[in-house]
Amino acid sequence: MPFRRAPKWLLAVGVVAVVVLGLYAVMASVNFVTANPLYCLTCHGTGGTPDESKVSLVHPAYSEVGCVDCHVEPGHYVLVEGYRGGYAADPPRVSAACLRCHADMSSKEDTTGFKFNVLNVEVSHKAHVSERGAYCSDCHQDIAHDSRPEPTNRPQMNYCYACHETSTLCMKCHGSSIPPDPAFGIPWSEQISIGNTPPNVPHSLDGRLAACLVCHQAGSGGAPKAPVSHAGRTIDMCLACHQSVKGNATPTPTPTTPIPTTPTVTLPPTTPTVTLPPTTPVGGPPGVPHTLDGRDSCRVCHDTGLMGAPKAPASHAGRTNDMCLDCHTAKTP
Amino acid sequence: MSSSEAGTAIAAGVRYGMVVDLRRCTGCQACSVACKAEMDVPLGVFRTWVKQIEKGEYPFVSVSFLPSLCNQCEQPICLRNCPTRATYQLENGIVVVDPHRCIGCKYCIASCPYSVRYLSPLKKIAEKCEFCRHRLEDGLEPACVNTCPTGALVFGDLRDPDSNVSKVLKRNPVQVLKPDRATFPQVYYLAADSEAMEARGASEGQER
Amino acid sequence: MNGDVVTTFNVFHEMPLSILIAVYFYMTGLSAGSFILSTMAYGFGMEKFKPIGRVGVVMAVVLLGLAPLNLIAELGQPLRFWYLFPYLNPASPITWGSFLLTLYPINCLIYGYFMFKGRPKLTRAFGLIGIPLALSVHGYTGFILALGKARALWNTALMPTYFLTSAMVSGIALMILVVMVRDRFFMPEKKINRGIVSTLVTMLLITIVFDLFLALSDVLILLTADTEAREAALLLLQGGFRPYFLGVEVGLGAVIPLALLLLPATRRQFKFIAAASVLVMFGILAMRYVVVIGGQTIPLS
Repeated sequence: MPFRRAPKWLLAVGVVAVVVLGLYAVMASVNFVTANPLYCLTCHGTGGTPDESKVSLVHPAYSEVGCVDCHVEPGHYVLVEGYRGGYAADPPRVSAACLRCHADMSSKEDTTGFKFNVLNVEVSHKAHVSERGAYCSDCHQDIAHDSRPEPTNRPQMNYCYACHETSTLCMKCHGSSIPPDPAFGIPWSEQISIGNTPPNVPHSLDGRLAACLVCHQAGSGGAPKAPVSHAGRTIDMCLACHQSVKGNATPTPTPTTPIPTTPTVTLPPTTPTVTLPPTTPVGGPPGVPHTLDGRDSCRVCHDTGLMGAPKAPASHAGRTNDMCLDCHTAKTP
Repeated sequence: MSSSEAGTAIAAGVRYGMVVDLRRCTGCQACSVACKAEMDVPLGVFRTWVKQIEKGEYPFVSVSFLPSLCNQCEQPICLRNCPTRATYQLENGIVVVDPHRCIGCKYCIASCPYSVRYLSPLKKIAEKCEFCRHRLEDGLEPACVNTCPTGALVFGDLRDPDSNVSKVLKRNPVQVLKPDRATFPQVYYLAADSEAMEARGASEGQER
Repeated sequence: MNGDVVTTFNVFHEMPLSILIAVYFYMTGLSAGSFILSTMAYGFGMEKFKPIGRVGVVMAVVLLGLAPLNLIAELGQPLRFWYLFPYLNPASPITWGSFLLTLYPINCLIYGYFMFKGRPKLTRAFGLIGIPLALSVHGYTGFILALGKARALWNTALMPTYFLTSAMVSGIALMILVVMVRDRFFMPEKKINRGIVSTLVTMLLITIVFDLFLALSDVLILLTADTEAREAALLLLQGGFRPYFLGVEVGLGAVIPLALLLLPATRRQFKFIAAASVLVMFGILAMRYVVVIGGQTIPLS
C-alpha cells in the first residue's frame, strides 16, 4: 500500500487537514442546526404564552428570515449560545438587525417601492429614523411576533400615538392621493357592505351617541359586525365615513329594499327623468349607469350637472377619476 | 412604591429589597398567581408562594402566613456555586439566571437555603424570582407587589432613605429567614411567626 | 416544634440531585481508590503491590470513563455540558471538577501507557503526579456537598475526608474482588495470590475503622449541634434513612465485614473475604445514597 511508504510529513499534513476539515464540518453543522428557528422554539416555544411567532406575512420565518437574523448580534456564531448578550430582544439589537437588510430605509423619504402598504400610510422613514433616532421596532413591533387574533404584522396605529397626538383626520397619514372614503386601499373583496362601499347609517343616532362599536364590534342586536381594522375607533371617526341618514327614525340593521347597483332608469342625454335624492341612498353611492367609452373625466359633466348628469356633492370637490371609480363601480363595460 | 420612584430608581446605586408585612398578609395567594401569570411559570413550580400554617386547637387557633420568594441575598450561595456563572448578580442586587448559559446542573437549586429556585420542567434550566426586572425597567413594580390587595409587600430601593421600604425598615422590627446561613437576604419579614418561618416541607395535598 | 402546628399549604420542591449523582460519587471514589492502589507499586516502588499495578490503572481509567456519563445524563441541558470549560467559575467546586475530570483521566492514560510499555521512571513520575489528582478528583465531590451549605447533612468540614476515606474503602474492596477473580480464573496458575490479598485486607480493615470513626464523629456532632443538624442526624438514626445508614452502611457494610475479616474462623478463607468485600462495596454505595438523597430529604422551606 503506497500509504505506508508515504513520507512522514505528508501524513502529518494529511492528518492536520482532516482534523481541520472535520472541525469545520462539525462547527458548520452545529451552526446550521442552532440557527434554525425550530431550535430556538425548543425552549421559546414552550409554556402558556410561548414566544413562538405566528408565521409572519412579512418575514416568513421558516424560509427566509429566522430568529437569529433579528436577535443575534451581527457576526456572531449561534454556536456560542452561552455568550452573555449573544441574544437580545431590545430595540437597539433588533433595529440594527433590520438595517442589515433594509439599509436604505433610514434615508427613505417616500413610500414608493414598499412591498406592502395596504392602508397607504405615508411615513417618512428618513424623518423618523435618521433625524429623530427612532428604532425600527418602535413602530414595526409586530413584524414577526403578532399576537393579535388576526395578525397582520403591520404597524398598529396606536404605536404612532406613542409620540404623535391622536387624530381623526385620516388623510393626515393615510395619504392624500386616496379618497377620504374609508376604503383606504383595502381590496374591495374585503368589504362586507352592499354596493362595495361602506354603508351609510340607516338608523338615527338618537340614543346611540356613546359609541358605534358598542353594537357593531360584536354584532349584538343584529348590527353588522365592524371589520377588525375598525377596532378602537370613536364615533366621530365612524361618522367621518359612514354618513348618517337624517330623519330615518326606524333603526334597520340592513336595508329591507334591494339596493340597485345600477339605477333602474337610464338617463336620457338631455332631460333627466329621475332625480336622485339629495342624500346618498341607503347602500352607498350609485354605480355608473353608462359606459366609460369616450368619458375620460367624470367631473366635466358631474361637477356642474352638464347634460343632465347628476351633480356631484360638494364633498367630492377636487377628486380625480380614479377616485370616482373607486366607489362608483362601473357595472357596464 | 410610586412609578415615578421606580422610574428614577433604575439609575446607579440602587439596591432593591422588599419587606413582607405579615400584619397585613391575608394569605390570598394573589401574589403567587400574579407571578405565575406575569412570568409564565410552568405548572408545579413556583417563583413565589405563601406558606400557611395553623396553630392550636379550637377555640384557641390562629393562622400564620409566610410569603416566600427569592431573597436576592447579598452573598448568595447559588451565585458562588454556579459552575458556568449562568447565575449572576446585577448592580441593583437582583440575582438573575442567564437562560442561554444555564446547563441545568441544579447545584444552585440544591444550595439555596430557601428552596426558591426550581428547574423549569419545560426549558430544563434553573429559574427563580427576579423581582420582575422587566417591569422595573418600565417604571413599574413587581407583579406581586402590584397586585397585593393589602399592601403587605413593600418594595423599593434599600439605599434610598426616602423610599417606602426604607421607611418601613427603620420604623419596625424585622427579621430575615435563616440569618445563620450568612447569605444576608434582602427580603425582610415584619411580624412573621417563628413556626411559619421554620422549614416544614410540603403540605399534605402537595405531595407528589 | 410545637405539636399543634399544621402546615396547611406549602409548595412541593422536587429533589434537585438524583441518584445518578450518588452513583457518580461512588464511581469516582472507586476510580481514585484503584489508582492510589496502583501507584503503591509503580509510584512508591512497593514491590508487594506489583500484582495489582496494572489492573488498578485499567479499572481507574474504565471507571473514570463511565462516571461523567452520569453527570451528563443528570444535566437539564446535556448538550451544554461544554460550557463548564469556557465559562468557568473558580469559586464553584463543579468547575474544579470539570477540569480535574479531564486532567486525571489523561494522566491515568499516560501513566498506564508507560506502565504497559515498561518505562519505570516515567511510570513513576506520572504515578506520583496522579496521586494529588486522584485525591482531588474524588475530594472535590466532598466539597460539592460541603459547600452546598443549605443542607445540614452536607455542611460539615468532615465531608471531603469522609468521601476520600470511603473512596479508599470501596476501592480496596473492589481491588480485592478483582484480584481474586483475575487470579482464580484468568491467570495460568488459577491460584489466588494470598500475599497481596492479605495486604489488601489489612488496608481494608484500617480504612473501614477510620471510615466508621468519621461516620460516628459526623453523626454525633450533628446530633448535638443546631436544630437542623439534629434533624439530619435523627433522619439517619431513627427516620426514613435508618435502614440505609445503620442497616446497610454501618451494619452490612462495616460491622459484618469487620467481623468476617477479624474473626479467626473466617478471616483466612477467600470466600468470606470475598463476601466481606462485596458487603463493603454495598455499604459505601449506601453511604453515597444516604448523603446525597438523605441530605435532600430534609425540607428547607
